[in-house]
Amino acid sequence: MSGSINNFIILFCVIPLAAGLLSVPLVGRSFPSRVIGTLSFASTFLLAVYLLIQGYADNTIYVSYMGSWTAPFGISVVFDNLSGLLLATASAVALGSYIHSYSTNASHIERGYFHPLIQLLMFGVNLSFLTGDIFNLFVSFEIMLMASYALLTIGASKKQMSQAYKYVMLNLLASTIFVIAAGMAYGMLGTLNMADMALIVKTKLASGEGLPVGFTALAVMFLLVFALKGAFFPLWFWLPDTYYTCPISIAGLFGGMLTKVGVYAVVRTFPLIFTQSVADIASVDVNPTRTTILWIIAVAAAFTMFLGVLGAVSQHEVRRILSIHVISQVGYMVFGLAIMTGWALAGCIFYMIQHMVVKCSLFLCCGIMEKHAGSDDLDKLGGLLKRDTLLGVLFFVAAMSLVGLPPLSGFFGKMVIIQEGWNNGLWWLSIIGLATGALTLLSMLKIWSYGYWNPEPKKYPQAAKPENVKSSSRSGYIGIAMLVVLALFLGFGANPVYKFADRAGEQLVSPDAYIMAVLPKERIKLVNPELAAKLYDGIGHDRMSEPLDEEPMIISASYNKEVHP
Amino acid sequence: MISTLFLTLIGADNGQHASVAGPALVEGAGSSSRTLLLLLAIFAPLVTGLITLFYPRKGITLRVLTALAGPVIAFLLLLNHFNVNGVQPLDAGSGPVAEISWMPLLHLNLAFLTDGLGLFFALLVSGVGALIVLYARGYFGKNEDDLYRFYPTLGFFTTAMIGVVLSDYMLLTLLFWELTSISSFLLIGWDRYDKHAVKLAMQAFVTTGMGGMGLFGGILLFGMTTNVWTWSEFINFGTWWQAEYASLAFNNPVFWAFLLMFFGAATKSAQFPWQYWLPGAMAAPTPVSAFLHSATMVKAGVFLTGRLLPVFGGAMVAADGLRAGLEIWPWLVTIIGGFTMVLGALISINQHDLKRIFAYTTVSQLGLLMCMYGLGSFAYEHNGHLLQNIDFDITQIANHAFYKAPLFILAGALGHVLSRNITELNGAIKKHPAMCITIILAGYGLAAGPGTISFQAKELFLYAIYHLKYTAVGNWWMLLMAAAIVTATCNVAIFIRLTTTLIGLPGGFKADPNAIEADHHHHEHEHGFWASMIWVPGAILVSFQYIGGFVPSLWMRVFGDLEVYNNNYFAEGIPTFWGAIIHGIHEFSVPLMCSGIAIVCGIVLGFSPIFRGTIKDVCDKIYPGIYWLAVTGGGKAFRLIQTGNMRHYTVMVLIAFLSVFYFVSLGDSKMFDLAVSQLGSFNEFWPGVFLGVIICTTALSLPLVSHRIIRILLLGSCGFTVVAMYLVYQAPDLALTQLTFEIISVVLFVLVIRLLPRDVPKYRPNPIWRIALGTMAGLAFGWMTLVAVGADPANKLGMWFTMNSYEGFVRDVYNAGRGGGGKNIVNVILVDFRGFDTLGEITVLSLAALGVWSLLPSRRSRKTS
Repeated sequence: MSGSINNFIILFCVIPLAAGLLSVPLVGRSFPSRVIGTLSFASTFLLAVYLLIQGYADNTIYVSYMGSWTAPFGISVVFDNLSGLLLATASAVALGSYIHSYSTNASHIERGYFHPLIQLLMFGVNLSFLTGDIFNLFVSFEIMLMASYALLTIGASKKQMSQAYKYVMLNLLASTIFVIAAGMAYGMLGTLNMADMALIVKTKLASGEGLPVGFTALAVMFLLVFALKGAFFPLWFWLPDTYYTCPISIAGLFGGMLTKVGVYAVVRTFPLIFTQSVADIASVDVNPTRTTILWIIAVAAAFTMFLGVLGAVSQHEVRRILSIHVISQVGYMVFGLAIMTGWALAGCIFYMIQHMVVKCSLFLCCGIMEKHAGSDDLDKLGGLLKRDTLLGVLFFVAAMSLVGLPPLSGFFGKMVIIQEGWNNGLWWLSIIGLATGALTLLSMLKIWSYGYWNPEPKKYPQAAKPENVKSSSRSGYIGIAMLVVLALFLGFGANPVYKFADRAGEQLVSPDAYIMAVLPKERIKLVNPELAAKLYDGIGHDRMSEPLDEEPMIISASYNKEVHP
Repeated sequence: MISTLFLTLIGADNGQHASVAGPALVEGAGSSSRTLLLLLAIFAPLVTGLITLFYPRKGITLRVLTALAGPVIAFLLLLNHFNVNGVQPLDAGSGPVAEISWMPLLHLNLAFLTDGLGLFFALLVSGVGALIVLYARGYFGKNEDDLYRFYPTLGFFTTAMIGVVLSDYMLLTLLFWELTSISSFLLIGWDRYDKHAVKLAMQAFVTTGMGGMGLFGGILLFGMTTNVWTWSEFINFGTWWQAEYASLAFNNPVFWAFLLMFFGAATKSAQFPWQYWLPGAMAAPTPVSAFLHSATMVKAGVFLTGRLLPVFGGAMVAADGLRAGLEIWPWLVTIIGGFTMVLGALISINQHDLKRIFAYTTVSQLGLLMCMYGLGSFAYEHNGHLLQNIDFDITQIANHAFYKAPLFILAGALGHVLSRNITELNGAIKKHPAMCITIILAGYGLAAGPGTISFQAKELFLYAIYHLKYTAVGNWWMLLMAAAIVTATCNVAIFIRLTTTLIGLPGGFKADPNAIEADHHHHEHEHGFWASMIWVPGAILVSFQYIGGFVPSLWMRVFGDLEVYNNNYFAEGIPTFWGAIIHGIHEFSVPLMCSGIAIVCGIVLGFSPIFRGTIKDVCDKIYPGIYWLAVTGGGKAFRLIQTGNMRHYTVMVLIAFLSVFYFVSLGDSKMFDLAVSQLGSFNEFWPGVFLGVIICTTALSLPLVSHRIIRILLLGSCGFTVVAMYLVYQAPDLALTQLTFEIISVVLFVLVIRLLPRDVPKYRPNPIWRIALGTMAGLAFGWMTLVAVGADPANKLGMWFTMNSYEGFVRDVYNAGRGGGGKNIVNVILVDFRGFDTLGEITVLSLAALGVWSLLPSRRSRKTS
């Protein structure tokens, strides 16, 4: 049954690619382009949600082999709970900011191939969430980055060019190291398929042969690459200026999504390959690479969270506050990564998806604020609550979600991460996390009190009559409202979302299910006969057609309870 | 029926506290409907508040009545719950209320704890809330806009507050706790166009928000350590907890959990040094002040401390006497509370604005309540019984609400009709007798004069202090007693000055025409029923003071069942005030004497000319300090690395990478050995070495040259040497590709650079540093390459591609022996085996083209326009 679904997952790449190609000749005709684009994002969102629920119910990981060349030889795309959650959220965020862009994009931006670029960007993003191959991950990063270079410079103002230059240069540096590191990974492990790499690492650890020489250094190289894309300390330099100049709907999409792809890459590859847990291998005490890397990540997390929020608080422009805040919130995700238990990864994943939604909606709110005031300088704002109450309400909900006050979404992400921090000896990170929360509150209240309260400044631009702004940005409100409703759902419905996230975390820390889903039985047998015997014991031969008899994963929440009575 | 339920519960729960993961569920037919009723009680104020949003702005009376319905419904439901189910005893495992599952994974479900403390607070909040609705109508008058906004916000706050005190799950308490912060922020910043008020609202939110983070962390740490997530389990913690965690060790997580939680309580309840936000919050309209600072928001911290007392502070257990709590509790809570008490009192007497006076007395009273809970962890012997040093805590809390709310209400009323500045109120009684009499009656409660319940409450507190004598504290009780006397003196003096001023007697303040501070909400005076609402709610509340004072038996009928701490010492309830006085004189009681001293001193101070100016609290500087530190200091720290200079960024990225890389690798001797063994065979093929040296030399000479064209040519020569390298190592296809690329890029670069403006760098770093950094990076990558090449794993995939590029290899079980069908392996890999990658790369190229194209026409069009 799942066999027929398996090939559907490539639709996440095909739909945006097709939509992007279709809208190239339609440039300059915004209505048909918009219809195509909206349909594309909406359909990938629905598909992701459907597959996520279906896959959760069947406890299946969907795998599709490109060109029907089996893993590890061809390229495989894999849809597990982690991919599903991120694909659904990414599509939703793209949809929200896309709808918002109807009302904020100037016509010369639409004529500058906005629609195809944004579709192809999503092609890259979706592919990076799906792919099961390190080199293919590199390719998808390239697609995404090339599209983002183009989107950042769209409109071609002088400021944009100079900021995009930094972004391009730093990311090129990272890409170069990525290719080199991928080559070295092939040299060390003989494969670039993630499941295969996981299997080989597991085998080497279990057999007592030990990891290849220089494996930790290799992990450091990958970490650097992903950390630069994810804006960890001290590699975030490209971020603060990037979202400052481009059109707001693009800034919203990027603010929500770009860093998450970097974080995603760490979440995907590190627990699976580089810092694989050895909890289920009785003969091995500790994975030395894991210990070292987790320490590096923990130190990075502390600085990312705290310096990030200090940077944000000190800014005086809404866009800058919001964009530098991305760093501090990435810090929470890095904190979750530094713990790297199943439940902490679940927290990290939850935080990622909620942050994508919330941050994007805040940026989009900023877009309408700019329409009112003609600027995002806090001194030139004021009294917006009275001018535009709806915007005020939406902004307030999103801002409080970002701060993480219950029962809004940020709270539940932070909660699990801090809880796991206490639980795993990283109390100092938990304390920093709490302090960061308080400073986050300060920075959001800064925007609120300067922008929405405080007296209205005398000089609002004449053209920006409240009624004009409101009537010209209806789709803007729709886009924001969609995202805010989603954020509210993530808050009040945190429990069901956490069920998915928990399964995703568990799939990451005990990669047996992932390995078994992606690799053919023969390959597992070849590399690690004992594991193959263990995995296929009592399971029918045709793994495509038969669902697993029993759930191999432990829900980590209950697992934690057993460890800490 | 309920009692049998409890009995079975206690029976079922005995001895298994240690192992339970969640509270035992009571599966009774009525229990979940009780939960729903409590939920309704909690959310009624919010719902009715929101309903008023849909009314037309003119419908004021309807609006008031609807908004009133919320707290009234809540009050009645809670009263009904109290009558039917009684107070949930603390030693029952779980209450008569079932839990509704919400987020079981996250230990957050809807369950409620209706013990005495919780029920009392819930009744108080909803009751006072209803009166505040009426008062707001009197205060705002017919101001439609204000009323339109006010009722929903007030309902939101009331709901949050009832939720705090009734929740059983700790995280649910936290949830409502933060909602009180949010809603009070909206209320305190009522005058949103007043920059000062906005700043003060922010100050209150950030301060209590900080505390909220502490509480959050504390709950998580405690829950993680002990797996206890509900208050009912917490209170029934049993003795196993004591053995494991009671010690005052710094590696004891429960100790830290307590400190974090107490931090939350202390900020919320304005304990030193966080008391500054409370007077600042007086920027709110008076209905808000009256509600937040008498009965609700600021009491949340006191409530939390009361919740924590039986475990962290200590509790009497029938079997084994006093079960001690954490060793730090008595000192921390008592000292902070006592200090806040006396500090608040001393500042309050040095104020002129009525609201500020009462704000600081609130701070003082909150300190007193904290101190009371601190004292509650001591025990002393009396007639052979071991007694816990706390009595009638709920009376203490209620007493404060019943005089402080009227004081605020009347301060607002006087501010409305005259002024809020005490120096301008001389002889006000002639114009507004009802208001002035009410405020004087309430002031008498503040002074704890005999005849009010306040008097007995103060006596109880002084008793508790006096009994420290019989504990480990010994004679230090006198220090705390002195603080209490100073506090009482100030309160009496404030009452004296208020009374003399209002009546116009000598000793009062005289009008000072220069200083006029008007209340913000002046509007035309109304008359009639609604206008009287500006003082009547105060009169209703203050009447409780005198009921308690004169008929304590009636008071005990109402509050007695809710009281938890009721020693044998006062077995027959609170004595009447004359009974207490007569008894005290008869026994030569020290507390009564101290109380007498305070009253005398207070009267003297009240008429004396000292302490008549206004002073500022030093702690007011704390929040601006934090703000400055975060904004200015933090900004500097951030800009230290975010310089805006591209060169710095590149250098920092490289340094970050290299330092981590060398940190990891230098300690790894295997990496050395492997690299050295690989290097050992460098003399296999001399042409390769020769080309390698050329590549390195050209690369290293790059930083030494500053002319751009020469740099490009150097780069090009480096590339062409790489081509040669490919050739000698027999990779002609790669060589061809690289050659094409190098030719095109060099030519293009040279052509384009001619068009660019002349490069005049302002600052060029020393080439030595560049070479050093470049060498370090090169060495790192070179070393890594040697290591990676040396690994040579067993199952490289490459072999498979060679075998299958034309036709399937027989042993390829994976793909049923299907081959690629092409003779050129590179082609087959590119378009078949890994064709998907190629699709991606093509997309990248097209994207680059699109991006460049999108840049070009727009520039042209801008030039023409």
